[in-house]
Order: sequence, then C-alpha cells, then structure tokens
Amino acid sequence: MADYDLIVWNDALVTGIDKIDEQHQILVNLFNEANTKLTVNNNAGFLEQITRDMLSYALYHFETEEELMQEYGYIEDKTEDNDTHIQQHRSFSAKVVAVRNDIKAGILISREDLLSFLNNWLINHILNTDKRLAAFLLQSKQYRSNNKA
Amino acid sequence: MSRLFPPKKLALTKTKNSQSVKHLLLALIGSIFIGETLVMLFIDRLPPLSQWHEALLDAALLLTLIFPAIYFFVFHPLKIQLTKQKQAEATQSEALDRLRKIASQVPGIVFQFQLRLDGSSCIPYANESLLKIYRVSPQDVREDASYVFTVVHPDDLEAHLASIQTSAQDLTPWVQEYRLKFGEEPDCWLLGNALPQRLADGSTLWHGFITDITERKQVEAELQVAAIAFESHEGMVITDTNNVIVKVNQAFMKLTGYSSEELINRKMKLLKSGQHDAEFYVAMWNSLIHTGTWQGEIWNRLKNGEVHPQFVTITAVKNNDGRVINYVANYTDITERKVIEEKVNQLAFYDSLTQLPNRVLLADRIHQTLARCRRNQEIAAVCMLDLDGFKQVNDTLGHAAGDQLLRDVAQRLQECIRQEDTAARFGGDEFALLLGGFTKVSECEQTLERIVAAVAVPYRIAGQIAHISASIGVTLFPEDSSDSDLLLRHADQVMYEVKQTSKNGYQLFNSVHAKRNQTAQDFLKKIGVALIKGQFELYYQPTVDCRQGKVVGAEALVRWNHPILGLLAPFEFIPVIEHDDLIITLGEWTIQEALRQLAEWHEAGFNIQISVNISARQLRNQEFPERLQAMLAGYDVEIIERLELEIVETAALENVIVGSDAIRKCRAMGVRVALDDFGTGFSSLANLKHLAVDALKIDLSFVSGMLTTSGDMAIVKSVIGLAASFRLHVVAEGVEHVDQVLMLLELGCDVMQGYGLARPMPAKQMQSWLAEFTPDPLWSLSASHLTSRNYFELLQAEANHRYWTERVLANLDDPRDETTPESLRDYRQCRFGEWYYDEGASHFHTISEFDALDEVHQNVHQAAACLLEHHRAGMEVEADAAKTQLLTLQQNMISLLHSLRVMLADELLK
Repeated sequence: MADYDLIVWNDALVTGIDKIDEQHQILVNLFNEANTKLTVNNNAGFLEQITRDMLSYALYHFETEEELMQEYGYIEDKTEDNDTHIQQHRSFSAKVVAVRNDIKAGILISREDLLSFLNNWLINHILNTDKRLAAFLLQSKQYRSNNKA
Repeated sequence: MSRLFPPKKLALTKTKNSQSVKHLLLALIGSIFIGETLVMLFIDRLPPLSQWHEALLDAALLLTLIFPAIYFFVFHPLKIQLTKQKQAEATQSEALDRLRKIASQVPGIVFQFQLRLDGSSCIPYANESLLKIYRVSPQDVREDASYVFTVVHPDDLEAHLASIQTSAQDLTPWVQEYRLKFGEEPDCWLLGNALPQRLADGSTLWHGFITDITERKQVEAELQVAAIAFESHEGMVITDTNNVIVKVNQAFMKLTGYSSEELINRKMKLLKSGQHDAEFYVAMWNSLIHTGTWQGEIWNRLKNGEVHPQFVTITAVKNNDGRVINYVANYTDITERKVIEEKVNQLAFYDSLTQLPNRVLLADRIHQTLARCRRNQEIAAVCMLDLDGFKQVNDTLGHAAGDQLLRDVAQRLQECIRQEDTAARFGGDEFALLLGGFTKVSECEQTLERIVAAVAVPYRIAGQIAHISASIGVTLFPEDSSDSDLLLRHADQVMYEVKQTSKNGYQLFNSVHAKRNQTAQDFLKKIGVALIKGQFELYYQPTVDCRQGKVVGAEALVRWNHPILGLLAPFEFIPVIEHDDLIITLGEWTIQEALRQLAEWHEAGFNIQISVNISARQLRNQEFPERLQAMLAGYDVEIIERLELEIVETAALENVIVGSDAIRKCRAMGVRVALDDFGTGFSSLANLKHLAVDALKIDLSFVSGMLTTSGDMAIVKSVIGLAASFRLHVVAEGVEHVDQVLMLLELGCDVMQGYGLARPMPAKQMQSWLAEFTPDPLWSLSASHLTSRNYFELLQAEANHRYWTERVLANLDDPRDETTPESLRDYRQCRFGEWYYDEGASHFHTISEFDALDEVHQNVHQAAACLLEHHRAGMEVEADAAKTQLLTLQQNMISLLHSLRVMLADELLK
C-alpha cells in the first residue's frame, strides 16, 4: 500500500508555534496510522474509530488554533485569512461527519478517498493556512511577550 | 669507649717521668758537690782532727753522701708511690662517678646481689632504677634484700628463687623472666641477667641487670592474640597496596578452595566473579580511601568455579605517616544466610505460584537495568504480557490446570530471555518482562517474536491440549521515560491495545500515540467542564402526526455552544465521549433538562412528549434505572408519561438481556421507550419481542431513499408492518419532502420528523413554533376521499418506474440474470405499464400530460433493451450511449409525472 507515503515529520511542517506543532505531530501520526492500518477492504469498526479519533482530535486542535486567533486579534488584522482558516476547520469537521454518517448507513469510504482527503487537507492546511497564522502570531508583539522562552 | 681516652694523654705521662729523673740526677750531683765543697772548706780551717773528730767528720761526710741516696732510694719512690696512689684514687672515683652516671642512665636496674651461705641476701649496689621498678631505694636493700622477693608475682616466686639457686650452685649465668605484682596494678614483666661469682666467704655475688619488658610482653601477647585471631573461622587476607595477597589464613583457603601457595603473590582479582560492575568497585575504593574501611557483600568465584556471596570487611592499615601499607580483609561466607534471606525474599519479592519476581522486585530490577543501559548506551524494553484464552483453560480444565499452565508459561518465558533479564508475574495471567542489553530495536523485536511464538506453542495439561497466546505491550528505554511506574503503565496501555485489536502479538509503545491519548483525555475533561459551565443546550425537533395534522412531540438534541468553535452538533462531539462515562453524565443532564422543559411546556399548555437519546453505555449502566427513578421524583405522572427514551437499535442489541431488562424497568416507571435508527441493527423478531418497547423509529437513511431505491422502500414497508404486528407506534425520521410524507401516510406511518417538517430549534423558538403551527394542506391529500387516491397512484407509479430502471442497471452485471432485450421492450409488463394502461388510463385519460407519458415510457423501454444488447455484445461505447439515453428519458418521464401531480394537487386543494 504505497499509494500514500507516510508523512515524516520534518522542518518544513514546523510552524514555529510550539503548541500547534505538537498537535500537528499528533495529527500526522493519526494520518500515518490510518495509512498503515487501513486496508482495501476496510471494516466499518476501524473506519469508525479512525474518523472518531480524527473528529475528536481536530476539535481539540481547532480549538487551540482558534483560541489563539481570537486572543491575538487575527480576525481584526487578517479578516480574510481568519475566515478562510475557520472555514477550512469547519469543512474538515463536516467532511468527517459526513463520512461517519455514510459509514453508519453502510457506505464505507474507500481507503484511497479517505487518505487522499486527509493527506491533502493536512498538508495544505499546515503548509499554507497554519503557517500564515503562525507568521502573524510570531510578528505579534503581544504573542512574543506572552511566550518568551 | 676506648676512644674516649685519646693517645695524647699517654705521651704527656712519659714527659713527666723523664723530667723527674733529670731532677733526681741534678739533686744527687748537686748534693755530692755541696758536701765535697763543705769538706774542703772545713778541712783547711779546722785544727788537726782528733780521731774522734775524724770519725765524726767521716760520719758527716758519709751522711752527706747517704742522705741523697736515702732520698733517692727511699723517699722518692715513696713519694712516687703516694702520688700514684692519689692518682689512682682520683681515677677510681672518676670511674665510679662515671659508672654511676652511666648506671643511672641505663633503662633497667644495674645491680650486685649477694646471696650468703645462711640464705640471707643483700644488694650491695643497685642503681636508682631499683626505686622505679622495685619501688625500694638502693640504701634500703644494701644489707637485706628480702624485700625484693616480696614483690615478685606469687605465681613466679618459686621459679624465681629456684633460678637464683641454680645459678648460685652451678655458677651459671642467671637469666630469668618474671613478674612483679603491686596490688591491683597490671603485672610488670622483668628480664634478669647476671653473672655469679663465689666469694671467699662462700657467698655468691652476682653482677648484672634487670630490664622492664612489660611492653614487649604486651606486644607479644597481642601478637599471639592477633595470630589466634588471624586463624579464626573467618577468612582473612592481607594484601599490599597493589592488591597483591601477602598473607591468608586457613579459613580463607578453606573458603576459596585455593592453597596459600596459589594465593600468595597473586592479585585479589583471582577471585573476581564478574557479578559486580565497575561502579561497585569505585564505591568500595572511595570508602576505603575516605573512611579507611569498607563493608559489604561480594560475590566471589571459588577455585571450583562456584560463585558464593561473602560478607567482607576491608580495613586499610596505615603506618605512622598515615600512609596505607596494607589492606586486611575479613571474609564471611554468607551463602547460608543468603539462602535464608532468599527464602524471606522469596515470600516478599516472588510470586509463590511461578517463583517469578513480583511487582516489587521488578521495579527494583528496572531501576538497575535502566542504570546499566544508560551507562552502556543500550536499549531496554519493559513489557506487559497478558495471556489470550487463559480464562477458557481455567474454566474448562479447572484451576489446578490453570495454575499448571501459568507455571509452564513462566518456564517458557524464562527460557526465552537472558539470565540478566527478568520475567515477573503480577498475578492472574498478567506477566511482565524486563529485557536489556539491546543495541538495536530490531534485536528487541526478535526476542519479542520468539516469546510470542514460544507462548503460542500448545500446552499439554492434565492430559489435554491447551492453546493460548500472548498479547504483549512494549515500551523502550531510553525512548520512553526512565520512571519505572510510567514505563509499566505505558506497556500496559499498549498491551491493552494489542488485546483489543489483534491478540497474539506485541506492539511497541508510541510516545506520539500516548500524547494523543493524553490530549483525548484532556479534551474529555474540557467537555466535562463545559457541561458544568452550562455550555450545553437542548434543541428540539418536532415530531408530527401528519394524518391528524398535529404536533405530538419533539426529539431533544443536544448542542454544544462552544465558546470558540461555535455551535456543535451531537455527531461532532458525541463520538468523542460515547466511550467514556461522560456520556452518562451528559445523558442524565439531558433527561433532567427534558423533564424541566416538559413541565414548563405543560404549564404553557403545550402537552407534547419529549424524546431523549440514551447511549448504549448509559443503558448498560446498572445504576441507570435507579438514577432515572431519582430524576423522575418530583414530577407528576402526566409529565413522566410524556418522556420518551430513545435507544439506538444497535445499542439495545449489544446485550439484549441487559437492554431488555433496563427497558422493562424504565417502562415500569411510566417512561416510554423507543428504538431509534430502526432497521440498521438487523433485529430479529425474537429480539423485538424481548426488547418490548413502545415505538420504533425508522432510520432516516431508509426514509430518504425509499422513493428512489426499492430496497429502502422494502425496509420502510417492513418496519411499518412490523410495528403494526407488534402493536407499536412507528415514527419515520429524516422526512424531507411532502412526497415522502404522503408515501409514509399511504404506507401507514403517520408520525414523522425531519427537515421537511421542521429543523431542530432552541426551546424558546420551539414554543412560538408550536403556537404558530399549521399542518401542510398537502398532507390532507392522503385523506380518504377518492380524488386524493389519484395523487398517491401517480406518486406510486413514479417510484415504481424509478425502481424498474434501478433494477435494469443493477442486473446488467449479474451473470445469472435472464432478462432478454425482448422482455425489456415489452412496455406493458412493468408495474408502471400495468397501471398506466389500466387504472391510470381510467383516472387520467382526460389530461394531455398523461397521454404524453405513453411515448416517453415506450422509449425508456426501448433504450433499456438497447443498453442490454450492447452491453451483452461488449460494445461499451454504444452501451454507455444507450445508458445516458435511458437516464435522460427516465428523467423526462419523472418530470411529466411530477407536473401531473402538481396540477392534480392544485386542483384538489382549490
């Protein structure tokens, strides 16, 4: 099953915001686990578990990011980025919920579709959306003074 | 001593002698000359002498001559003699003085002892030391020496006297060691040494000396004690500072099995067992250097190769400068003590069934192993092992067999690991392994694979073959923590995961994975806090009896007003908590809130029921009925009977016995119970009978698909039929279109909910919605008047032709399908065709849109036949074209039917 490589955590994925990076590592780990454990003939139980983990972890992670966004005025300074960012979070949850509803109705998402969705979302979101937020935070005087090493 | 008298002094004496001879000669000559001169003078002057005179003169002359002679021969020697005597006396007194001075400086007694024939004795001379040693002054014993015998130690007196006697008799030197005793004071040891001589009176006189040897005697005694001590039953070794053996005792030789020849001049290293690490020796030497001593247990290798534990005390021996010159080590073999200790340990630190270390000892071993691995930069593995299938063996073959199996497993585990590793048992079928010394993770994995394979080999127990396997959770040091408790906990977590998923294998702990679990836990806590903070709210989605056109109830749906993420629907967060007791807390909150709301609406005059979703976990919870009872307390029956608990069918089926029991108890309290998402859980009729609920809720997936998919329609019909048979209420969920409402009404399902009727809304909004509610007039189409029948027939016809097309497409790839293109071309054979040319024609023949349907319908059949022909012939391109045509025609047909229905509805509702 080498259609998707495991995502090896690397410097390119580091945003520079410790809390976010730590959580991204866990999301990447979730993806890798799905990649290694999912087979062509998925069973509903395992898919259910993976999507549940995704959902719960995503909520946890989104909360962290969106809290930072609120705290440091992302919405005021970068309204468009803020909206795009939140929109991506919501669409992730909605997609996972949809996949879960399908599973319940007996329609199992294929391994390829699930991995493709996760891979694209993760990489795109981390490399673009989250890095924008990180750059904003790292430039914020308030953030820097609150997070002095 | 002779040097003290230099030769110069001798020369001086000679000179003196020669001068006196010269004086003597001068005196003699002088006297003769004076005498002669006097004679000459007197002869001339004197008258002639008479004879008498002459004689007198001669006499005088003679005298003159004799006098010097006398002087020379008598007086002078006398004078010399006297001088000499004087000189000798001076010399003697000088010598005596010298002697006295010397004697006084001699550390012992210098003495003369005289034993008279009558047995009395005296000490003519003794130096002052006598006073110090014998405590008597020399004067007091000069005449009578009897005192000196009174102070001799009574035990030595006889021998002392005998030795003097013997020396006196044989005139042999007196040499004797003896003691003096003064009261309670310690003995004073003396050594006497004197030469006897017999005096003229027959008495014996000794000249000699006596020395105090008390100190020497003490040293001797100590040496003797030391020598005895050295040859005690404990092994003793003396080494030099290079650790080279200088001296050993018998016991040490016995202890080690080596002879003294084999040991002496060898290094102590000879005995090294290799059981102690460098750190041990560093600590030992540190103690020796700083405190001069070390005590502890050392395992030494004997000559025969055995390794024994010995308790050792090492003491550094220092010289006067404080420099270490030797080490003395004292060895006690503690093998026996160890055996006893072992037994005690065995009880405290070992599992009595398998003799494996227990949890306490393992923790200690982990500590040691981690220290070693850290030093050697090695990898250690802490594993938890649980047996799969052990319970079955225990249950089927009995406890004795179970115990035997555990012993066998313990044995196999020990065979798989190195001696330095540890297999432990924590109780039950739970084992732990501590493996060390790996340089690569792959080495560790090999060992684990071996263990998994070894445990899985069948066991012969009590004449039966038993099969079990091992689930092992592994965590690695240094990758994971260095805290033994944490390592064990992590290994346990992973073991549990292995047990849940695959069994018969091992899995390595993943720290990111653990962090993930940790954050999942954190998230759960957050949800708990959110509940306390009142961030949860119930939304209500109405259920409507469409036949009667009235609202009968509402399903309570929980929403999380997340301060950051906004409003979250249950399917976004319920999955996170449904495996935690938090779901029970949330469930209880929902029930309480629903009851409160029921009471509030009752007050406001809205008497509808509220359905609350109950999780599988809550249903299984034994306390649930009791808790529910408590929550209901204080509410009137008319409130309680309006509460409905919705249990997802699959949850109720997890354990039918527990589920049915809980359902029965809830209903006994007057609460209604419905099976939610019905149709998804493959309930058997028997189960349905057992579960004894009030209502079934048809899962929305079937409702939304029933007009397009025949299978869904079949399920909806079945559930409705089933409910009717069991005399249960039935509710359809997920209703979105009025067509579904009408179809459901036609099928006999009156109560329904869904976006088509109303979306979930907050309680406040619900109240105004209830106040404003008016039923959709279209619903009344299903009412019994004849015309409305037509509307439903159109709906049915539409659905039927969708099902027909669906079946044609599905059958294309079914090799067993016997459909022929000819049968497909027969447009009168399908259910739509049957209706169209018969009943339909009689009802709708006046409407032009109805007539238009004929051609489209025939074309649909033609396209389907074409599709089948091309598909069978393998002409995929043509087949695809025919398929597209079929679907387009089908769509046209449905549009015509739809507009026909709209037209009809408008007419009916006029």
